[in-house]
Amino acid sequence: MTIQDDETLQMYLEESLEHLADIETDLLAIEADGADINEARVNKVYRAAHSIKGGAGFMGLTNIKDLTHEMEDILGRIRNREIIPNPDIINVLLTAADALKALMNDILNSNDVDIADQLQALRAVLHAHQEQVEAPSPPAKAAKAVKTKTEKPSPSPPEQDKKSDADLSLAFPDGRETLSVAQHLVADHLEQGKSVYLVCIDVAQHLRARNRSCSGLLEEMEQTGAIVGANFDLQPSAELDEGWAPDMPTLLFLFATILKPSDINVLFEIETDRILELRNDHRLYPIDGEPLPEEPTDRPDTASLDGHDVAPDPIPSTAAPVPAEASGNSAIVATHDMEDMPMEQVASARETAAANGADKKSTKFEHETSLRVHVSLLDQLMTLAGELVLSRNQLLQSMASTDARGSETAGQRIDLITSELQEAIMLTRMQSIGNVFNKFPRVVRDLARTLGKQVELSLEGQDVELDKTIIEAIGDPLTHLVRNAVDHGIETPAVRQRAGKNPVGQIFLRAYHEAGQVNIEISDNGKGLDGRAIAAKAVEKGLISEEQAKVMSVREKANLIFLPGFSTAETITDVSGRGVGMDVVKTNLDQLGGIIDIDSEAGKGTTIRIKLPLTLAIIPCQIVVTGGERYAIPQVNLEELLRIPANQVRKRIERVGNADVVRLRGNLLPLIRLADIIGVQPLYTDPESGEQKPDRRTTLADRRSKKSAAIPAEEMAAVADADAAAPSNPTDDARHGKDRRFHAAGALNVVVVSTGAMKYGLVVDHLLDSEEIVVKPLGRDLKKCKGYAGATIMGDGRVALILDVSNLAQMGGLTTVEATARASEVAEAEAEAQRAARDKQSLLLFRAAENEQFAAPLSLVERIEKIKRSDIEKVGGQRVMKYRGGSLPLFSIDQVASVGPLADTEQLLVIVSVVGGREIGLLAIGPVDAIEMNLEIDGTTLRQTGIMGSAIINDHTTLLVDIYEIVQHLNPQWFKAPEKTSAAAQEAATILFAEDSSFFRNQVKGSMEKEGFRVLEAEDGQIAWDLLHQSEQAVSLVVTDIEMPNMDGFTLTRKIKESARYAHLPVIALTTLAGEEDIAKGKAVGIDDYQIKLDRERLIRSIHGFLQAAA
Amino acid sequence: MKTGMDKARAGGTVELATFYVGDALCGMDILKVQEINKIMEMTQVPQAPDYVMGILNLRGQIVTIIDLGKKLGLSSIDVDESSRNIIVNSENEYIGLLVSQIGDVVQADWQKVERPPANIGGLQGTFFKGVFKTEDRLIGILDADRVLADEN
Repeated sequence: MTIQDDETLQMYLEESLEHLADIETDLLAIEADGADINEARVNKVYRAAHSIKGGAGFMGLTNIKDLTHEMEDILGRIRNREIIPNPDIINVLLTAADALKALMNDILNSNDVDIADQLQALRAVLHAHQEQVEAPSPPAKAAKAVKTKTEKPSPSPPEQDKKSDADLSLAFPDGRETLSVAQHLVADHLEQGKSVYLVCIDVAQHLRARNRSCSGLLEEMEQTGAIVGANFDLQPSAELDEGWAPDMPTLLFLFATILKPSDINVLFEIETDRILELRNDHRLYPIDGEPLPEEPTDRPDTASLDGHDVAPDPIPSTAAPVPAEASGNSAIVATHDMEDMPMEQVASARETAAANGADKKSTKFEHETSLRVHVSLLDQLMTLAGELVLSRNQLLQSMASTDARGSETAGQRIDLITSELQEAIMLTRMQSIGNVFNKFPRVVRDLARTLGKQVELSLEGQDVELDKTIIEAIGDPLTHLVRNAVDHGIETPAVRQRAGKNPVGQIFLRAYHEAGQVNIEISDNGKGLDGRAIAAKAVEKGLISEEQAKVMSVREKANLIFLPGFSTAETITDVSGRGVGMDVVKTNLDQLGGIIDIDSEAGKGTTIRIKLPLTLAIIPCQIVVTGGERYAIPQVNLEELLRIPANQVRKRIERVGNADVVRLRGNLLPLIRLADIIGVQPLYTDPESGEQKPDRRTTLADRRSKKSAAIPAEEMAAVADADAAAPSNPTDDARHGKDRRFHAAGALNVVVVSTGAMKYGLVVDHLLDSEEIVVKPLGRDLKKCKGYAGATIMGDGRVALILDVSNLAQMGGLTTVEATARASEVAEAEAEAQRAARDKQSLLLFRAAENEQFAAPLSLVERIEKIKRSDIEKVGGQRVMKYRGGSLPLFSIDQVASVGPLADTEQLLVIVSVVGGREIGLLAIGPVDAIEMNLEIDGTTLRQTGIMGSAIINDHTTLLVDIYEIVQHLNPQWFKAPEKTSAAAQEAATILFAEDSSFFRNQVKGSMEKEGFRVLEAEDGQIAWDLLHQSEQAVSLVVTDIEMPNMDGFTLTRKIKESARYAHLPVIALTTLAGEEDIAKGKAVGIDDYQIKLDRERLIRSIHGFLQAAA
Repeated sequence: MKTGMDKARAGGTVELATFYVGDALCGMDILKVQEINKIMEMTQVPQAPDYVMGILNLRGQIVTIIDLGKKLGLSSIDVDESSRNIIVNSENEYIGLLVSQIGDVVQADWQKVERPPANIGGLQGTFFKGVFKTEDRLIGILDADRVLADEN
C-alpha cells in the first residue's frame, strides 16, 4: 500500500464521502427514471465513481479501486443505454456503494476486507448483460428462450466442466419431489454471483387460488433470472397459452437469479419453507437466514435437507397471527388476517430485513468530526471577538478609574456583543435536517422492496436547520419512525387496492419552524392505529386496567404505544433498526428536550409530530422557587403561568380521588406540588413579618388559617372537608395565626407544563423571571435523581437545577395512563371546551346611549378613532369627518333603530369598518371592550332594522349591531351595482348551507337570499349530506360551519370531496376564529375557502367568485 | 493519575495530601487533588443520595459535593470553620469531598506503605490503598476512585 501522507488521505476521504452521499440519492433517482435514462444524472454518478477510483488508484487502495471500477463499468453501460437499470441492478450498485462507505470508514484496513461478494454481484450484472447481447433472441424479448439459455454451453472455466457433469439430485426435505439437473449448469450461475433456488409451487394453492397463471409466473421468472431446471417440460413462456398448465399438482424449479434470499419471495409469494437456496457446496439452505445445522452427509453431491423441523423456525405459528405481530416491536398493532400476503411471509420478510447487514449500514448516522463553515460567518465571528476585546478594555479602564457610567456603557456593549456572538456561534453549529432526511429514500426503498410494498416518500423542509448534536441524535428515532411507517403503516398493494386506496402508499416527512422550535411530522396514509387493539394489548400486559382503557380517548390510546414495556423488544442493541419500541424513541426525544405526539385515524393513516428545540446548549427557561431553592423549567415544556388568587383557591381547586385538579377554562388540569415530589418543605413569605415560613397546607385547597368565629358556616364545612381528605394529618394545630385567606400570599402559583400528550400544573412557591440558561450536566452521583435534566449557573453564581417535567409527572404518579381515571373527565371537558372555543365570537362592546350596551363583530372593525364632537361636519344631509385625507361618512344606530339617541358628550368614538367596499364610521361612546365568548344569541325578541339580535353579555342585555343593515338602510344605492350583475350571472344558484346555530343560520341565509341565491338549510353536517342527496335542485356551492353536532364541517367536506358526484362543489367554511391549524386541516380535507361568520360581504364575494369560476 | 501511583509503587515516593474525616487521618495522592476550597454555598439537591451535600458552581463547572464521612459510613461531617472541600478529578468528572479538616502534605515512601488492615479508625479497609506510618500517626491512603465508584 502506498498511502500518502495523512493530509492527502484525509482530503481524499472527505471528498469521496461527499461523492458517496450523493451517489445514493442519484442511484435512487436513476431507478425511478427506469428506461427513460437521464444522461446527466448517470454521468454524475459515473464521474463520482470515477474520481473515487482515480484517487484510490493513486493511494494504492486496491479494494476501493476494484469496486469502483466495476461500478463505473455498469454505469458506463447504463449511460450508453446498453443496460436498462432495474431495481435489481440498482440494488447491486447500492450495496456496492454501501460497501464503499464501509471501506472508507476504515480506510487504513480497507485492503484487507473481503469484497468478493460485491465484486461478484457487480460482475454478474455485467455478465447477464453480455449474455443478453449474445443470446440470439431478436424480436420476442420476453421469449428469451429458456431452453437456449439453460442449455447453452456457458463460458465457464474449463476445470469446472471437467470436474463434473454429474447430475445433481435435489429434493425438499419431505422428499415429495425430486429434480435432477446437470451440475455444471448450476455451477455456471453460482460462478456469476447469482443465487440459485429450489422452488416448489403448488399449482392449485399458490397460483389458481390467487388468479395467477403458470405462464405468467414463468414469464416473471424469466425476466428476473433463468430457470435452470424443472420437473416438467419447460417451454418459453411466450409460446404458451394464457391458460396453459403443466399436468402435475406441484411445480419444482431450479431458478438462478440475482435476487438475494431476502428478496426472492417477492417474486413467488409463497411459504418460505417452499424455497431453498442452493449454495456453492451443493447443499440446500432455507432462505430465511440461519444455515441449517451442518450435518455430515454420506452423499455429498446429493443435496438433502434432513428434518426441516430442526431448522430454526422464525415463523410464529399461523394460528396466532395477532400476538405474533404484536410481540414484534410493532408500534402499530393491526390485524393482518385480511392481508393478502400470508402472515409468516411478512414475518420472515421482516426477519430477513433485520438480518440484512446492508440495511443496518445505510441507516447508521456517523458522527462527523469536521464541519464546513462559511467564511463570511467566520469573519463575523472574528469581528465580534474583536468588539468583545475592545469592550473589555473599555470596561477595565472605566473600572480602574471608577467611572460608573463608563462601566455601565461597557457592560451594555458586552451584553449586546455576547448575544450576537452566541447567535453567530450557534449558526456555525447549525446543520440542515436534510442531512438526516436524505437517508430515508434509501431506507424506505429497501424496506418497501423487502416487504413487497409500494411506498412513495416525499420530503419537505430539508433546509430547516438544527443544532449539530440534535441532528446527530434525531437520526435513530426518526429512522425508527420512518421504518415503522413503512413496515406497519403502509399496507401491501393488494390490501390497499381492496380498500380503495392508491396501491402506492405515501409517506410524508416534513420539517418546519414554529415558535422558536423545530417541528417534524411523519405522516403516512396507511392503515392507521387500531386504538382498541392497542388498548387491549396494554391491558393484557397489565400496563393499564380495563376500566382505564374504557374511558380513554382515541388519542390517548394511540399514545399508549409510548409506554415503557408496551413493546416487547428483546434486544435493545440495534437502535437504528429493529428491536426498539416506541418507548425508546420517546426516551431519546425526551433526552433532547423534544416532545412527541401521535395522531391516527384507523384506515386513513398516522401522523407523528415531534417538537424539538433548536439547540440544547442554551435554552430559555422559566425560573421558579420552591423550598427556598430556584429551579428552571425549560420553556419548551411551558404552556402558561397561572396564579390562583387566595380567595379563588377553594372554588377552583377540586379534589378528585387523592389528587388535586384545577378548573382552567373549562378543563380539569391535574396539579402536583413540586415540593411534595422532590420532598422539600414549601415556604411562603409571611405578609406581616416578611419572614419565610414553612407552608403546612396538606392539601392545596386548604387555607393557612384556623377556623375562627368570623368564618361563615360553609367555610367551616370546607375546612372539615379538607381534613377528611387528609386523615393522616392528626390535627390542624399547625394552622394557627391570622386568617390570611384573602391575602396575596395565599395565592397558588401554578406552572402549566406539557409533556407531549399530557398537560399538568406544577405548584411552586414563587415565580421568577424567564431566563436563557446554559445547560450543564449533573455528576454521576445524581444521575439517579430522575426529576432533574441538568443544572445551570444563575447570574449570582449559584447553581439551580433544571426540572424534567415528564419525569416529575411520573414521580408524581401522573403518567398519562394513571391519570386516566380523571383524564376521561378532563378529555370530555376539553373536547367540549374546544368546541366552545371554536364557536366563540370576538365582539367589540360599546355604547351609544349611556345605558344601552351594543356589540359588533370584532372582525368587521377596522379601527377605532377618538374624535371630538366638533370634528363632525354635516354635508349634503350626511354626517362626515375628515379621515386619512378623505371624507368618512358617519352613521349612528339611532338613525335606523329605535334605540336611545347618541349620548351628548364631547368625546366620541368612531368605529371604522368597511361596508360595500368603502369605509364608514359608526358613532359610539365608551367604554369599549373586546370580549371573546360563546354567545347564546336571541335573534327574534329584539330584532329590528340595524339590530340583528341580542345576547346577555356581562349581565347586560346587549344589542348586536348589524352594520351592513344600517348602511344599507340609509344608503341603499351603494349596494345596487354589484347585486344586479351577479344576480344576472348566476340566476338562482342553489347553495347548501349547514350551520347549527339558528341565529347564524338565519343571518347568513338572509344575506345570501338577499343576493338572490336559493338556500337549502341544514342544522348539521349529517342533514346537509342527506339534503345534498335528496335535493331536486342541483346544488352549486356548499357553505358550512365547522363545529356542528353529529357531523362536523371537516367530515362533511371530506365526504363531499371524496364522492365522485359532488367533488366538484366548492366548499366555503364559515368560522368564528380561523386558526392556522384549522385552516391547514381544512385545506387537507378540501375546504376551498374560509370566511368569517358575520362578514357577509366577503362571504358573498367569495360565493360569487366560486360560482363565476365554475360557470 | 494511576501512572503516578504506579511509578511510586515501583519504588519512588509519593506526596500525600492529608485530611481528617472525623478523627481519622487520611491521605490522598496530591496529584489527584485539583484544589481545596471552603465554598459552602451549595445548592441542595432534593432526592439525592444522603451522602450528597449539594452541588456548587466551580468556575462554570457543576461540582457535586460529597460528605466523605457519610460516604465512608461514618457520621456526617459538621460544616464549620475548619471543614474544606477537596476537589478531585475522578473519571473525568470533578467531585468535591467534604472533609473535617486539612492536614499537611506528607512525603511517603511507597515501600514503607503497608497493606490496609480491615478497619482504620472505624473506616472500612477496602477504601484504602494502604497505610503509611509517620513518627506519631497512621495515615490511611484513600483510594478516591474506589470511594467515588458507583454503588452498584
